[in-house]
Amino acid sequence: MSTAFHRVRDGSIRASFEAVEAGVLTNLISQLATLLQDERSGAFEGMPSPDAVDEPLTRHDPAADLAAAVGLSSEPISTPTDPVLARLLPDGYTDDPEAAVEFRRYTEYDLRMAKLSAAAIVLDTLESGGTLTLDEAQAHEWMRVLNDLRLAIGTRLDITEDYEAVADSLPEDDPLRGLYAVYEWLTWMQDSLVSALAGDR
Amino acid sequence: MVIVSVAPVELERPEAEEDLGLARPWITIVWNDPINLMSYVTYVFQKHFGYSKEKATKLMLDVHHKGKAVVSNGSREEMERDVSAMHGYGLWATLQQDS
Repeated sequence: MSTAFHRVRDGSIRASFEAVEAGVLTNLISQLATLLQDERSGAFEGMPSPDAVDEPLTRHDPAADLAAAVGLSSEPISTPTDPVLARLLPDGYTDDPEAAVEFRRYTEYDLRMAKLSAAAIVLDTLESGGTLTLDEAQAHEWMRVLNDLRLAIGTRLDITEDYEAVADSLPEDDPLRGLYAVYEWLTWMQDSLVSALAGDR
Repeated sequence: MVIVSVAPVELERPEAEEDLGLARPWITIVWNDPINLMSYVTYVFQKHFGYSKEKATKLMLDVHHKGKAVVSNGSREEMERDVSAMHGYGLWATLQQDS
């Protein structure tokens, strides 16, 4: 059984994981990273898209090249169609679709990169089981990643505020039960981490 | 320290203030969702905005009970930065001009 996050005397933050729990976390974070890298992310790296090959003019547009070099898409980008990705990378405006596209064009790449970098820090610090000791900065990244995992799984499960009744009503052998259990475990871990960081525990 | 005493200057009243939109700042709104933890949302408000625990808790409860709360206001650029930061924490935030 894992031990929840708690602050120890020297100021660092500790938790311990069973090997199987560390394995589940690693697997989930890899899935999250794949999701954040897929789709349009190729366009952000300045790689020509299949469309651009058919339209040589766009490949030699200096403004587009510059935009690609600094990590901006030269194409307008819309809200992701995948509900999980749309929740992780939400719109910045609800009342102005044009401003929402523009906001996304300037912020989405950085947001994806920040989430990927946090995921990498968690994978780096996560041992294959046993006790984990984090400094303040690492603990913050852990907190964001645990939250992103909960957002991803919660959105897939279509979680509501009274989801526990839904989960309890599932048949014993329903495979979704496992996902609900993982969600609850992540909730417990994240809540303990927030308490440790906020000084409540 | 020098105290400068000057007669109050009669400034022309800026009649066109509202037309320029100066009286309507931009606001950052955080929306309720069933996933983010109450403790986490409170912590994020303290950490990012530097709000006291009391103020952060009140805003979090507004989000939870009323469905949304205005968490900051200022220039459009400042609000875009706040919204980006909230997205970085996984909170569902948007900006708009105050109505």
